[in-house]
Amino acid sequence: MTTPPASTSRAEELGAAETPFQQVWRSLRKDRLAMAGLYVLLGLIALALVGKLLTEWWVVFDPATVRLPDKLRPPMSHASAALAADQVPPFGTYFFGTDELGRNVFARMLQGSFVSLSVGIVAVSISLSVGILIGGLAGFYGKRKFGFVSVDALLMRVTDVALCFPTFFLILTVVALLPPSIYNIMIVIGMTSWMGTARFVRAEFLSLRERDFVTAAQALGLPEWRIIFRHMVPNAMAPVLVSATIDVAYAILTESALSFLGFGVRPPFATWGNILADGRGYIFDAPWLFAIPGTAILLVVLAFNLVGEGLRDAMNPRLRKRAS
Amino acid sequence: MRTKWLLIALPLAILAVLLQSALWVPTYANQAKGNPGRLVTFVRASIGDAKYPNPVLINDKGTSDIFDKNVFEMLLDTDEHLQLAPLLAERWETTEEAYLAVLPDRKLPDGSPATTSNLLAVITSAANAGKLNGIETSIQSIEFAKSETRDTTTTVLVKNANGKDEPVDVELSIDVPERLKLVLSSVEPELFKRLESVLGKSYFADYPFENRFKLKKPELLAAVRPKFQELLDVGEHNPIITFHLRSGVTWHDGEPFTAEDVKFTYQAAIDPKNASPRAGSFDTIRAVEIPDPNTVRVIYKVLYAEAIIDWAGMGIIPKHLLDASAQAREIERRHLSSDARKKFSLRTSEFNQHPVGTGPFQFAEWLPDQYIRLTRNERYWREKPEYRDVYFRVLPDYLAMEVEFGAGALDMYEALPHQAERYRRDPDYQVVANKEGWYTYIGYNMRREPFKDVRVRRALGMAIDVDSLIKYVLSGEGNRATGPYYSNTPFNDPEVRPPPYDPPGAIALLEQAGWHKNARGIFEKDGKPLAFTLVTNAGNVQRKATMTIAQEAWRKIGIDCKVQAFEWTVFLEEFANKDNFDAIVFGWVGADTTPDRYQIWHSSQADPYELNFVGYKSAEADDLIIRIREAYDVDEQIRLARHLHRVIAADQPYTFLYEPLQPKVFDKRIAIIDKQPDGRERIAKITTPPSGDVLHFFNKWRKLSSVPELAP
Amino acid sequence: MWRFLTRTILQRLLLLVFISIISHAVIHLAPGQPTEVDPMNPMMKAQDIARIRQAFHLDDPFYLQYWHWIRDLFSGELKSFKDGLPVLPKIWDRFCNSLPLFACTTLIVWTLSFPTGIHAAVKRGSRYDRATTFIAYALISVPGFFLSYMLILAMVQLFHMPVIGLRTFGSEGSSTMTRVMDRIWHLVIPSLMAALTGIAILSRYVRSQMLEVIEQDYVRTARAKGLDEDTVIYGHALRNALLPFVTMFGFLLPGLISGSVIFEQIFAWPGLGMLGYEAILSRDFPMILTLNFIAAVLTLVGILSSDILYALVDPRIRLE
Repeated sequence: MTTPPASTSRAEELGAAETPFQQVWRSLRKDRLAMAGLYVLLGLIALALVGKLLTEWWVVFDPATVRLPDKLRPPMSHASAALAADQVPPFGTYFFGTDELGRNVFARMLQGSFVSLSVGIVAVSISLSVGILIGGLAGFYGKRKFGFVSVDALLMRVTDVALCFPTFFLILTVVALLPPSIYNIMIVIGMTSWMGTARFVRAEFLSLRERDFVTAAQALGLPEWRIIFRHMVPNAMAPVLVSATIDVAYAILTESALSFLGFGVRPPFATWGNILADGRGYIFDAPWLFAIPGTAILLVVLAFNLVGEGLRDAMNPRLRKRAS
Repeated sequence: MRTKWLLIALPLAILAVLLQSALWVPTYANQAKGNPGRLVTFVRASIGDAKYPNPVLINDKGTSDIFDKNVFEMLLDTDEHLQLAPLLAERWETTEEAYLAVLPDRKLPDGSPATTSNLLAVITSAANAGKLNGIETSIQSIEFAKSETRDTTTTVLVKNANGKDEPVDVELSIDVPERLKLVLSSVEPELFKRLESVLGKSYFADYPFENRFKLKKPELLAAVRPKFQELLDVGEHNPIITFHLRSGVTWHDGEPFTAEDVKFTYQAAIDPKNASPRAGSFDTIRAVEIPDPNTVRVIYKVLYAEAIIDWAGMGIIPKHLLDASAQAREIERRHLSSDARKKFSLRTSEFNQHPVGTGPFQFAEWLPDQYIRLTRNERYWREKPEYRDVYFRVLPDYLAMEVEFGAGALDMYEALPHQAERYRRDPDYQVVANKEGWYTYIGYNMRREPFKDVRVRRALGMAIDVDSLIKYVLSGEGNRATGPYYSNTPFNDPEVRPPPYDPPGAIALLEQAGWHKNARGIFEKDGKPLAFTLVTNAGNVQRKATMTIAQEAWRKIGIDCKVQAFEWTVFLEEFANKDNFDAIVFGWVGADTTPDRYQIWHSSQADPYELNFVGYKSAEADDLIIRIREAYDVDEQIRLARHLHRVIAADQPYTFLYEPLQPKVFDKRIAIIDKQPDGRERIAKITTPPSGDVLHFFNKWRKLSSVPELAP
Repeated sequence: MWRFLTRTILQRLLLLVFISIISHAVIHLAPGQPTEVDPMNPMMKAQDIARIRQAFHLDDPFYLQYWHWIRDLFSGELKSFKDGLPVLPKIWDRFCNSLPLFACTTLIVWTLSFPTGIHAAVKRGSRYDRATTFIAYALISVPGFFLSYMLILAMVQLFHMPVIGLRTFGSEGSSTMTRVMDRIWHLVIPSLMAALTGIAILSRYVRSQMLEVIEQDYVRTARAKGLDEDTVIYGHALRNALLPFVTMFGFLLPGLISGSVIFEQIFAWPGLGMLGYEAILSRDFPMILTLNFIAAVLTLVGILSSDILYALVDPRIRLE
């Protein structure tokens, strides 16, 4: 069946019950865990934006102020009277306590939420772009020859090489060797996790190429880029999106693991990973320094995982039918 | 059906078997139950593993802590008051042989030519008349030394094809003229100055070097020329240290220790094949002679007052296991390839896997990155240590140490200040702090603006509240540092006061230096803001905290400082070594027995890869550093060193921050056992001796079965 | 079959060469020097540093360094920069330490996941199913070291029990039984911690496989025959659901090196992961390169063996 671009209006006329998006949404809403995850995620994204606002542009919570007399205060404790006026935290209270230099952990967590989320999201965007590019090229132009090897064989061998590197070890090596910067960490995590996407997209493209609507589009003489981006990419996106959601969770965990090993994002950036890693040294003196960022990471990663799994279930027609 | 129960029962059974093991594990309270050997076993830990357990190759504090003094021994030791004490050498003395070239074509003050006999007459009469300011009393004899050809090699750096500096050994022969040899009973640095007043200034001027040197490769002449005067001068000091060795000392394998071993240690250290980090210490040695098996004479080329200290840091290695014939046997035994044979040196020798020394402990086993075990040397020449086994464990971080210590699988570790603070409150443990030479500082790259101005450097220091940093970050476990010498040494001038904590004063000082605040509240001069980057190495908690605190303090007075922490090797290679930084948080450790600060502060040491990486250049300091090196008199050394301390403190090339104490925690049951002459044992509490090294009396430590009652 | 094997093995060997060249390039282009070249030692002079660099071939061109590495690796003379010990025996030692941890973790994961997953599938939608689902997601989402430290904190504060390292130091003089149990105890805690994520993932996978199978016609037929539910599930369904798990054994192999860095680091377990981590910290180039190489070999062997296993158990698949 050929699907012309402007299909929605026709579909409504035909009385087709709902668009694929609506179908997915309807079945996702029945999944209570996934919905809970989604709300947590939306809340976190809002929090990250507010955090960026309140810690950097309009500084209400100052993550940098050092208050040595107030070091290692437990959560919800009040600032000591000895502080200068400009050092007192908002409401005179440390909601999440203070760290070993008397910095306000709540402010640091707020600042870190933006950095941590962006590490995850940027890293996954990089891996998606690389994966779609390589997978798409291999899937669509696979049969073309490049010298004596086909494009497909060449690209898939590249993917194989990348797959055979022990990922975490490679990340560790590269991060340890490169000058430490938050961008390098994003790039390294992204560049070591694109292989799955590439294989996905290639497989989808191979099957889509043979589908009627693509053959028809080719017969109509539509330009190649239009076929690829207008017709094939959107159709291949569904499984990619699901795995992307879960990859963000994985990227955030990787960042915290790198921080733990001492190769994470370096100051002045606070991330949940490095607050957690720094807090580890004080678990006997100030357990909250470890528990708070640990729980925060658990929550956000859990939310991404639940949403990702929920989406996967919702997009899988067979399961959907069974669930209803 | 059966499958179902199997599937459920199997994992439960496995878990049960695994978890019941918990019942067998010793806990802190019952660590010695059923295991009396626990009381004579001492377990220590450090973060990194040892490297090359051969004193000639030891390059880091960790390895040195394990092997120097425990397995190996030096000729001399430093006692609990940081004074030199005999160890393998029973006693030693320092004398001198000075040489004066006979130059017959020059005229003496009375107009006669400076022939041998005329020179001798002039000097003798001056000495008899007491014109040499007291030096005449130490002149034992004056002899005649024939002219000779001296073959030697010297190392110069030459640019190779890639433009990199490459060390090249230059072989040359020096035509040494006839000379007078003055035998002196002590080293007299002023000798030639005194002789100058007798023989005239012109006698020592413009020595004709060029025609006295013959190079095997004449094209390297230009590279060697700067070394001419060092290699041959009109007057030559040859200080001599004579060590009288202890007899009856044996190596762990039973072979006797002799003077041959000392000489071999020296040869191994200077052998370029071994690439020894200690080679530099022995550059100044002309020869090591062994007149008899218990005597070593070390003859120096130049005045070098630190020589004796170098020997107090150099563990002696066994010749019979490492010399050329031993190496040949090892090559034969290991069937090495021809390439490996060519490269064979102390670095590749199997000695590094089972070192042999003369010390109180002998090496037992080493599992890399896990632990090293030493056992008591039952044939030790002094009183034997109390402990039978000593483990040096490698643990990845301080938390792991704390966890192991709390579980009784570690007897002592160097706690971080906040951990020590907690242990001090706990009645089960004792905390004793090391006061080793070590200080942390912020160094400013003085090649760059704005750090060329001493007022800026001083203002930066005044902005930081170092005392509260010590109080809170170090939990009080530290002293204020004021200059290049540690506060537990006599070289430190106690009168020197650090810049006060005074932010308004810092602002005033900056304004005085021509800086003023711009619209953003940042200081500015000629349109350039006062902004720079402060770097340090990642992984050191205290340095990181210091960096954050400095940044915050400077931000408050209007300085825009960025901070970055880099992984250790990157930090060294990209920043410290290439002098590529604005400001740096760093520390110096060791060298507390010597006043020599040549490598860190002399202006000639400011090139890439050298240690004066802040680029400190002061003519006054240079002069003092050289004079300290040549001062053989201890009081004179202390006077000069204190002067240097004041000069550097005034220039503030660093903001000297603190000398961290290193609190060591251990069980209350460990105490010092003092054996009285009448055979009774006296139990004493472990304390910090004046030298600062808590482990100084480690051989007398014992773990008792219960907490001892100690006199307060 | 044999033609397939020779062809794939040749292909894989070629891949290995590429991988080793790339890892070489990555390492040599990056800043940082082996720490043995330690200029912070006041006793080290510029000429000494240059001499050590020469000895380690650090200034040679890239292809020469690569050649030195290959030659030394296969002649067994490759030495660590860090301590001058031969690389391969060192790796073998560490492998022997990693193996028990790996085996114990695998044992726990594979024995615990099946009953948990099957039960969840059978009782789909029940409170048990929902609870295990949530716990599984939570375990996947928690940073591994977070839970471990929480456990360590409890062990040390409440029981004063050693949990770090291969064994309790100082217990050498105890009875043999105590020492054996002590070793087991030190193995249990890290492998339990390392197993948690594995249990979560594998039990989820078991559950979904079982769900697929339970819906199949032959299961319905078995039920229709009047067989009791346990026989249907454990007799008929499980056997078919097991098939894809056979192939997973192959993918376990590479986990030996890279999977355990974090847990080995937390528990100071002297295994391969720790060896790699320390080699990276000290820029021990020969060690890093060799470990990378071995990890790549393990991955390739893993993929190959899972392909072969799959063909062996599933008659529908032919290797060509």
